[in-house]
Amino acid sequence: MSVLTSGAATTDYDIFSMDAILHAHERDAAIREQAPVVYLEKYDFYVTGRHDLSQQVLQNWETFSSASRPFHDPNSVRPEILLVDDPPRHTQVKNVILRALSPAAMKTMKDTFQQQADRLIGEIMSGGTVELEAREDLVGRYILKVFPDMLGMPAEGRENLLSYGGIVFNTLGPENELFHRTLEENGHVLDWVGRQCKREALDPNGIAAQMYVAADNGEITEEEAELLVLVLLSAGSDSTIVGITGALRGMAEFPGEWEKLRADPSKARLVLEEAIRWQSITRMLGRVATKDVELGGTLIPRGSKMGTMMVAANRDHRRWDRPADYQLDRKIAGHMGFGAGIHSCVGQAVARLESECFFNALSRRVKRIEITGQPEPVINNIMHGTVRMSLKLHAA
Amino acid sequence: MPKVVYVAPDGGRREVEARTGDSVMQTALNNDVDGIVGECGGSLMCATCHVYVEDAWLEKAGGRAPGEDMMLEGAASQVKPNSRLSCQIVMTDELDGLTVHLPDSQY
Repeated sequence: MSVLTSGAATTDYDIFSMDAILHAHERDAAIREQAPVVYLEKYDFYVTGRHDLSQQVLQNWETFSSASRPFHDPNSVRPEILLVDDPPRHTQVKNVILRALSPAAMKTMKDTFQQQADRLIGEIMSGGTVELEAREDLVGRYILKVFPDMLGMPAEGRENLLSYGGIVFNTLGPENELFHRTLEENGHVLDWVGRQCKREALDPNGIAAQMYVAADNGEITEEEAELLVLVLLSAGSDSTIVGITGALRGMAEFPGEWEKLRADPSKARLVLEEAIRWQSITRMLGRVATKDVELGGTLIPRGSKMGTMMVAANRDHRRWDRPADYQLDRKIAGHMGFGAGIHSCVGQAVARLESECFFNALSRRVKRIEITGQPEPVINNIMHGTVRMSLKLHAA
Repeated sequence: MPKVVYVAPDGGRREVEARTGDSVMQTALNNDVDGIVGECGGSLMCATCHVYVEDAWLEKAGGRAPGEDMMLEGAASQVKPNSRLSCQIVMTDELDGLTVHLPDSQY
């Protein structure tokens, strides 16, 4: 331990305590400001909350490998495929899922997503100004329609996708109370997901079935295909809903930005981008150092685990002007709301299109978004943001 | 420092100095060159930093990276033989003067 910590700033603070989860912006910023790299005594790994250093870590997979990471457990209930491998195998497997979710594939989905967004928001706003709960009545209804439809899943049981997302993100953290509780409470969800990921459960015309087509073609194994479907089931629902809910919150707290969108709906593409910088969906990403490496003046010994603190880095004042403000016109390239580097979110083109169509529809029907109750934070080891929020949507 | 020339669809030229090791996309963003978006930040997950490399530079700029073709298929503007994602072209002294043409739109 003493060898590991030599030269590094240290803290005994538990970054996965309830205090830290509830006050992630403040607590993670404190770590970012303490030093470029901080050693966590409780968990025996290093973290950085700096934007530039997080970029360095995430863009450099050869030095900061995904072959392991803090709290890595090869026997996890999570699909570990893609998360814990490096090229060349990572590239081969990723290409199968990336092809299905690529910007080119999403071009074919645009009309469908827009129609669904128009239909849902038209229905919600049909009686004029309305009060509702953001997740249940609005964002969840939209995402649980368009995304599982695209995958080729049956209509029943889709709410399980939300719990599954929560499980996956919780179990990326330490084995604390949240970790154990999410597994205890959601055994039925794991059973359901285990059935839904099978070849016979999927519509052969949907995107999920393409994973099995790739297996038939010999690009990946049958087992890998099933794991890729699990990735699709785990990563494209809960996190997207939290991201869009965060965007609604940003627009409500900074109403001038909503005015800008209403004046120029072509900015709909930017809404989610700034939202997931402003309220990062992921609190930490993990890596392992493959060699002794200097990071921000600290020696990270070979074999050390490393975390990049995304809530902190996405609000690092060294990189972002007025980081706590939601600004639609911000020069947003370089945010890490989808991560960065080869392991950045494989479904980012899907999320961008879903959000673009959603805010395109909403901005035409809603004049102002008002928060009418205290927003509830996501309580999760790794996922971060707003889970529930009462809103009043003022009709345009 | 090597220079990059960005030519807008209307023919307007911007010549900027690049840091060696920065991508052509990053160089554009660093210098507020309009017409390059770079949504994914250079992770080869989007096609919003699409450029057409001027023929004289094609060879020096190198071939497309693995995975680049797949992303280019989703480009908003026409993909041509000299199409590249500018996040995958890294500036070196040998590329001093590199000229790229910007497409009509990136998404």
